[in-house]
Amino acid sequence: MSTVQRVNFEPVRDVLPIQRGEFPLVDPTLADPYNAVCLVDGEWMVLDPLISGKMVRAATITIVSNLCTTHPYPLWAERGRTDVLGKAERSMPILWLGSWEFDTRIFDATVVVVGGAAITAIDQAVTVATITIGTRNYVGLVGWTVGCLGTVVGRVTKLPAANGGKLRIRGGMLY
Amino acid sequence: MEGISPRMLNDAFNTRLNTNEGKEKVAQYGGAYIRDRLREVSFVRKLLPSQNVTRTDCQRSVNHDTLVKIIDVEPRSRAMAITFRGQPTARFIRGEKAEIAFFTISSEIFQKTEQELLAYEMPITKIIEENSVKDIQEIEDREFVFHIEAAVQALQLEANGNVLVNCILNATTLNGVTPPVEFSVIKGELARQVGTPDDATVRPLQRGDIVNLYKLIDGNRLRAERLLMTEVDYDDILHWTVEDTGSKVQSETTVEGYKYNTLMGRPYIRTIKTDILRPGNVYAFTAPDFFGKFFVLNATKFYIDKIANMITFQAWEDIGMGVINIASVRKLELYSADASANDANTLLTNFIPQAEDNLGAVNNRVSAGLVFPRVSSF
Repeated sequence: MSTVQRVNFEPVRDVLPIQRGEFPLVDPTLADPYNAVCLVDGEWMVLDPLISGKMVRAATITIVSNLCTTHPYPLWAERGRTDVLGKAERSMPILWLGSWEFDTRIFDATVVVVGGAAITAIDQAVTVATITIGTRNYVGLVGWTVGCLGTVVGRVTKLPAANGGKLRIRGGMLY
Repeated sequence: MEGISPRMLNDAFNTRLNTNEGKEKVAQYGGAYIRDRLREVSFVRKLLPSQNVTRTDCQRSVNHDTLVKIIDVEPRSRAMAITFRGQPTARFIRGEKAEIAFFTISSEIFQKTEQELLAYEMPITKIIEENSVKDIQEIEDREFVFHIEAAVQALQLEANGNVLVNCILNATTLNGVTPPVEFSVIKGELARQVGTPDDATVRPLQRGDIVNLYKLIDGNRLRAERLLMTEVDYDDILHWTVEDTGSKVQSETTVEGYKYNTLMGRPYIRTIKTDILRPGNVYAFTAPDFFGKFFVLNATKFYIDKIANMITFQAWEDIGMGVINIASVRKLELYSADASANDANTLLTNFIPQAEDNLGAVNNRVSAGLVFPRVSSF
């Protein structure tokens, strides 16, 4: 079980080659740090299929193990950042294009979502689903295996046991 | 290609219009290409004069790497009449505080190869550099409009019992049995007379509308000091008759336009940015001391680089703005439809700023080949 802290998502490779995108939230209240389901860094987002140019969580936050089947992007903004709150439109940065490697605390290594697997091995593929950490839900990483309908977003490069409780994965935009 | 070294481009960017050299250069540009649209400096800086701040003026967050500036708000106090033996009530002093958060406004990242620049006779990179400053200020204005709109709608909600549906403000509800309270938003006289269905048509600005707007602020121990309107709505003032303006101003206006800096004693600011401040929306403000703050942490910075034959440049600034006293802004709507969060007439997109992507739509149709006469070269 991971533990959510102030900083939950840290790139471990040069960020300059990565193209960061920034999109307003369909639900701007998710940027409010007092919201019970506010966004934290390391959660995953998708572009809203209906509202052009805005983004939503990659899976339904209220349904545990809800899988993301479209292409999601990792959120790179800590909870309650004032540069997000200072703008009229609550837009937040995501890793949009390019390859990356990062440490994250927003994962559940033990849960097995539909057709998936626990995270147990280096180079194992991971996907995105709604998970529970502590007392609330997040949209984070879970293990993937053949047959799982979730979109593969990366592969494990360090397991939490060898990385201070953080999961390290590499991945990036493939198309 | 020696003429566009990164150093020279930087120098050109730093050349300001208020220098003779800068003006000469801008004049040179003006003769070299056709302009697509007018560009204007920000109106928010006229309503909330910007203040430069440094890192030492700001407060850091312990949770993440961002900065805010904390603003003190005037504490409450009062006096009382008492007898010789009486005693006044006490007040343990406490002043409210508010935070202004900083964020970045950036231009696009512009890129062009050295070779392709040879295909232009106009100094395209310099023009973009100059325009980038105005583009950044456009976004300042867009942010500001969202903030003031949020302020007036918040007070409007409070005045209507904090029930959102009670805030539907259109001609239909105004002429209904239980009309909403027009506390911080008021409809124009012509807009409120429109019959069902409510629409997005902007009615002409009437003299009485301005007076009613002033009274929304003046009735709360504040004073309306400034107006903000679009150029389109300002044009309606030219329609005012001799009964509105008197024969002297009427005859002047016919010949020279309305040439005064004040409208019924208050300065006004007009803008051509009708994709940000949409026509039909007129705002009144108090003096900045009662209103809010606009801080500039980093004035416009410019980055330019050339790697091999690829030239890259970008401009950005770091600012913070906020409406601290939301009672210091009021709004006049010259259309009959609802522009509250209810969006009761599903016409809200006509009244709010356009998306950043859509700002500054291109006027010319040169890319579609629409110039006259059309010439085909082989």
